Amino acid sequence: MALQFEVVAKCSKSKARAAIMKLPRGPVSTPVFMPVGTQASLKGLTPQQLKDLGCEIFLNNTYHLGLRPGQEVLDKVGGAHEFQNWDRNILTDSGGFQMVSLLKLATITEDGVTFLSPHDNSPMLLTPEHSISLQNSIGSDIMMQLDDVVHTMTTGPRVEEAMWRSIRWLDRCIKANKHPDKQNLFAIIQGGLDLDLRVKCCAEMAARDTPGIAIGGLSGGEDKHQYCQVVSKCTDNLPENKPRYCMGVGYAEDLVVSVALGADMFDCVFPTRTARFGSALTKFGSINLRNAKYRDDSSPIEEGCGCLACKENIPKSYFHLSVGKDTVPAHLLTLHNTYYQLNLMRSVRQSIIDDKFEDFVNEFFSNLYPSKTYPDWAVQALKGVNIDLH
Amino acid sequence: MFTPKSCAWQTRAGILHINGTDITTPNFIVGTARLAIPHLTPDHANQPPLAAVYAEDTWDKGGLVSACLNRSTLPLSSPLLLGAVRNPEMRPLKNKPNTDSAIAISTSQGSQMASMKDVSEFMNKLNPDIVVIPYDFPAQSPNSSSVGKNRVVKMTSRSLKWAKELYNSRPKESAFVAVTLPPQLQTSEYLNEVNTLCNSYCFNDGCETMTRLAADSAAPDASKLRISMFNSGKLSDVINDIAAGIDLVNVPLTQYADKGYALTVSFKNPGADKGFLNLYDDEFIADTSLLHNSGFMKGYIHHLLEAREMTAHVILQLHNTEILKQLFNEIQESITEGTFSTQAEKFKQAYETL
Repeated sequence: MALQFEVVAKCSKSKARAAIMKLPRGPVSTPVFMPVGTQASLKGLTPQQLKDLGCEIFLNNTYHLGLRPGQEVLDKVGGAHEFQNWDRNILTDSGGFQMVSLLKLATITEDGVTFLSPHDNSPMLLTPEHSISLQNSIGSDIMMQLDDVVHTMTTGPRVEEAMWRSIRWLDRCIKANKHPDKQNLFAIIQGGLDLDLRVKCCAEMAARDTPGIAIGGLSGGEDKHQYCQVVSKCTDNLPENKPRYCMGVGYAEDLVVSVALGADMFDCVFPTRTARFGSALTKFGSINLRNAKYRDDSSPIEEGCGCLACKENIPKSYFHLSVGKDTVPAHLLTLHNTYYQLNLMRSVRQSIIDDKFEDFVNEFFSNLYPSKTYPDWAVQALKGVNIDLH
Repeated sequence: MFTPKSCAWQTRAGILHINGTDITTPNFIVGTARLAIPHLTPDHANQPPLAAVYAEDTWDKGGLVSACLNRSTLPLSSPLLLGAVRNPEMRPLKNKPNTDSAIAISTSQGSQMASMKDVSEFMNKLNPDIVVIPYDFPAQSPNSSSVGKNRVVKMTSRSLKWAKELYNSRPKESAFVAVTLPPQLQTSEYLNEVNTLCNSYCFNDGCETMTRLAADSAAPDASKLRISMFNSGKLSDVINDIAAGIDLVNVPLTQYADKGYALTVSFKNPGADKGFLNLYDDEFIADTSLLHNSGFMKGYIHHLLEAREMTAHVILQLHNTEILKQLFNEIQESITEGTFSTQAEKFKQAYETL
């Protein structure tokens, strides 16, 4: 196992925890948000800029890298780190999610996921073994098992079938991993919104003793109350000494509440995607810089923010003028939003270490909701872990 | 202050002192788009020696967007040259002709009129190192090649009026004020008047004007800084400008990155290759060799281009900026060594497609 997980502090009220996750290419402080560089690049940023933001780990997508540059090239260059000149950690997904979300006519059998090649429409089969082979070629520090993904809102026997199949596929992934000494394979908990299935799945996955465990099958439009119930149930049933990765979560409120529920790792395309549409994340919420009210606004995006754009006092008016037309405002907003996410998690972590997480959560929500009419799902979820929003 | 090593109308080296920085000449200027050099955020160490900013980029339907104009808060770190419009002659705005007090500009929200008062406000807010004063050019039909005699008279008087107005309201810190000399305005009346206002000249038609002025005994002061904003998109024309005696020349930097080109040109040893690598070519798919000093494999940049990832253009823009800086260093050396003319011919032959 090439991962050591050391909890350094626990919140005295909630299930929040701060830890160090030691990986082959350096330590990662958790709770952590991992930006998504789908095609081996974070949308206009250089690896040095990403490092300067303090990023210790980011995502690449196996499906996209498998198509382009392809496994042969990845093998030739020695993996994705060398390919993109990034010497810190990379996490890759299994490729299965893209099969289901991007491709029509994907069919799932016990062997794997059959889909039509986007190149020539010929049928192709992604098996657990093929997914791991691709991720071995990428050389990611954390690999995800191929799981049987069903839409979050699916109910009935298909959910249980997918859960058991995901367990069987994990066994095949473990067997297929050529580099367990340097590449960490994470299991993924499935079971939809059925809490009993989730508990069963946690027990099965924990028994396989993978270096870390992810909570999958969420962030698909489910009710936030249900999302919180599932996350909380899973963290109650997962080992204390392993990192817990909540897949596809990126909204600031979701991050803060999920940390309170005991999750450690998160990823989402939202902060970088929304940047390209002209939206900037701030502690007072997201602002759309295309809005006419910013035409004559000479203030930076957020006073006190440490990103390049805010440190240089580049005015909102500049973004209003140029966003959607040029690349530089997109890069600056990508830098800003990525900084915002990483810094949010650094602040969360420090508050846990100082045992002031409850204060932090209250300040965070009061900035976001000055009228203090907080969303009920957040109030209830936090109440469940002894944090009162007041 | 500009210190040329020669005051003749010919190729020359010199030193431009701007805002505490010395820029050796000949050197290059890169055009911005809406206050930024495309693809380059200001934290990258490798920035062009000079950036050209245009007033027309900061206009919308409501007029000048002045809230974004503050020299210290621009997403730019290069010294600034500032003009009202990119090229006064590339704007057949028949529906909005220039007036005595305003110039027609092309904005992202259509044609607008910018008053000289607005242009002055723009200049003063940005406080550039070099100001290029606009001149009046008549709206013409695309087929018309010349300006009528009477219109030249009006063009002269209007351009002089604008020049005086903007000169008088110029930012006091701006070291250089450049007046453009299109062929129609090379009359003794115009030259005598603007000679007292400006300490540099700007040319929009490449080396043609320079060659004509060199042969003219009534040529303007040859000790002043000469700027070429001409842009044919070809590097051979950049070399022609320098050969004619231009000190600062506009270079179409961004077009190379946008085409996927990584420049490899050399002035000292031209001809080793065609002057660029087209990293879109499939020959680079599995190329693990690094692109010069970029730190990135050519195969990776090819992948980013194919995947339409913006990082490709950032890497190429940084690389091409470095190559152009080297090119101009070599040009300066060749002028000092007296080998410029010979090398220039070899360069143009070797890179005729660029």
